[in-house]
Amino acid sequence: MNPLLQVRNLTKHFPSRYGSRNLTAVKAVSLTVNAGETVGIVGESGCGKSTLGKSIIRLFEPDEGTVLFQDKDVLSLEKRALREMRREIQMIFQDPYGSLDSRMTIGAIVEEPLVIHGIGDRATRYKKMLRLLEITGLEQDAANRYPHEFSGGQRQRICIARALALRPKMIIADEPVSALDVSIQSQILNLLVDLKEKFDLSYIFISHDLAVVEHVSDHVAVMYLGGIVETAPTKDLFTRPCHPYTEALIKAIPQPDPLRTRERIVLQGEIPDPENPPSGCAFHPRCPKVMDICKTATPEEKNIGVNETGHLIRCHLY
Amino acid sequence: MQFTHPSSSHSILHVDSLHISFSTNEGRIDVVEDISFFIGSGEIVGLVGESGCGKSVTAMAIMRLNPSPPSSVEYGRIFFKGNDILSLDEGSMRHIRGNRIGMIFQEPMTSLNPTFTIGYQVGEVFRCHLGISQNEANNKTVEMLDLVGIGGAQRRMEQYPHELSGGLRQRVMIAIALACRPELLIADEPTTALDVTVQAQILDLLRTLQSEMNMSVLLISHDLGIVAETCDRVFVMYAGRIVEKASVVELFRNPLHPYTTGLMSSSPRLGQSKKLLPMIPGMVPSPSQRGTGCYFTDRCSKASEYCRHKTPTLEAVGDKHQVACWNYK
Repeated sequence: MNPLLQVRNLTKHFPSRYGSRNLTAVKAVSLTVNAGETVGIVGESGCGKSTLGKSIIRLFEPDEGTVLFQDKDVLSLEKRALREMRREIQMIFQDPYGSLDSRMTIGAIVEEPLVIHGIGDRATRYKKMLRLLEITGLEQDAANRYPHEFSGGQRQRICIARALALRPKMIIADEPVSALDVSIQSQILNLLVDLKEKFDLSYIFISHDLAVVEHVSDHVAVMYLGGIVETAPTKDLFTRPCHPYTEALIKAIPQPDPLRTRERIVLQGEIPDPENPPSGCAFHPRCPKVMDICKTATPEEKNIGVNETGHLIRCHLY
Repeated sequence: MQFTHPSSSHSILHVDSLHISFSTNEGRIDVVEDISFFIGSGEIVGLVGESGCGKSVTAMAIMRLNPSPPSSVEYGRIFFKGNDILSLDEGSMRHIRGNRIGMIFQEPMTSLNPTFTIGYQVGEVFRCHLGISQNEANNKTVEMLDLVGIGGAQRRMEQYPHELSGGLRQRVMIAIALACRPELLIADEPTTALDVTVQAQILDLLRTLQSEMNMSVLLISHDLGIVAETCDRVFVMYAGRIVEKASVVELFRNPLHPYTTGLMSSSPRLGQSKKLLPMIPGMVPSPSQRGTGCYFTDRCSKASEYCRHKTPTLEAVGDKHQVACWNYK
């Protein structure tokens, strides 16, 4: 069976502020999502993970590459066909405050996708909307209330209800729990896991939080400065991180265990300016294992895994 | 680390039954309720809790930075090295604030002034508290920027906050907070806005400087991982009250309060493969809707009707542990 989503060499440039150079936010990214699978994308701020998510459903128009969704070429779709395609891929954003229209009732917000896509009549839409509220753990009377009356966690539930309205096959969740408190985070994560089973969903789960990504994902891709540096099945990636950046990232997470002896790799410096990326491997100025070749040659993708799904890495060490 | 002598001579800070309320359109709301703790010399103490639990209000009260009105300290006292801070006049308080107690805030962009250079803002501390000239202040500023690991300090002095990355801005904040070598540093979510690799750098820096200066630190955080790696003792706050106090080892080895155990198990941890996370149901009540008795009752799996009506007080369980829960009476 072909994968649900196949992204090949996706590249997105933005014009630079001063016009002279282009900023490459996403650089030749390839990604595969099978039906029923959750693929996590991790990386620090500015690494291009959100741009990647938005480019896949053409909220940003990618400059190069292909995106195949159910074997259809997404990038060549006409406006009308694109809208049809978006019924199948929905998005949830980080900020549940900014992504809800404060002047619409929750009922109207959750119903809106059905209205836009002309699904059902008023009565069936209303029934569907109530059902969606129930599925996402909201009270029925929420339908007549406004976003400001809800807490962050509940607003994220509203966003999820809206995303589910069209019964998508895939949801791209961009930092869906980052703005929430710890005790609320777990509620939303559990809801997402539960809905995945109920509706046979696939997720692209974008987050900076490795523990969260490990928890929800089957497959993880690590991004640095616009490119994917390592991709592997979750367990493989976390038990055997191969790229020095992945290793540092995992070791940098503070663990809630005061007795653990920490072997932390503290990376020097910060993510370089994407308008002026380093030559060779983008990570070389911060890499603890840097070699001469890293400074000049961009590493090719290699499969160091045992089977075909593999463990892909871009690093001269391998 | 003895709870039995809260007013021990080694204590830098002693907060005694602090109760803070805010007046709002709906009347007076109690935000921090009757909390007491002390911080010993050279000790790093963590204050953990979710948004709205009153941890930042507590920190700001120590600095006397809560605007009044609407806030007011209903009762309670705060002793800094034996002096009651709350009874000081503003002039004496200014001598303590930024000089003997330093503070780092969460969002370095909003806490730096965008219209002044880095050099000016770090130098300001020296000019205010040491009364030295601009020139001398500049020299000290360069030293300070070096100390917090900002390379090319001379050049950075001329730059404005927007020209710096988040990590560098937080280093500038640390330079400002530590410029006068304070005896106590209050760090309110110092790394929350930063990426993990930068967070690791900043935490390392704080730890190094803390032991070099033998400073006491009150670290406010919602991240149990950071607290576990950094602190000597921990206080857990929920809805305006401290519900558990323990040494860091004891707290993570043997968490007692149902809220603490809930927090620990509900955050995903690396290397843990559970399909569903244990949850704390419901959400933190807003300060006006906390109800009576133990405020955690509605979300607690071990609660009884008794909990709803009677407020538990902190009771010792062992010598390094206190918990406010009726299940441990």
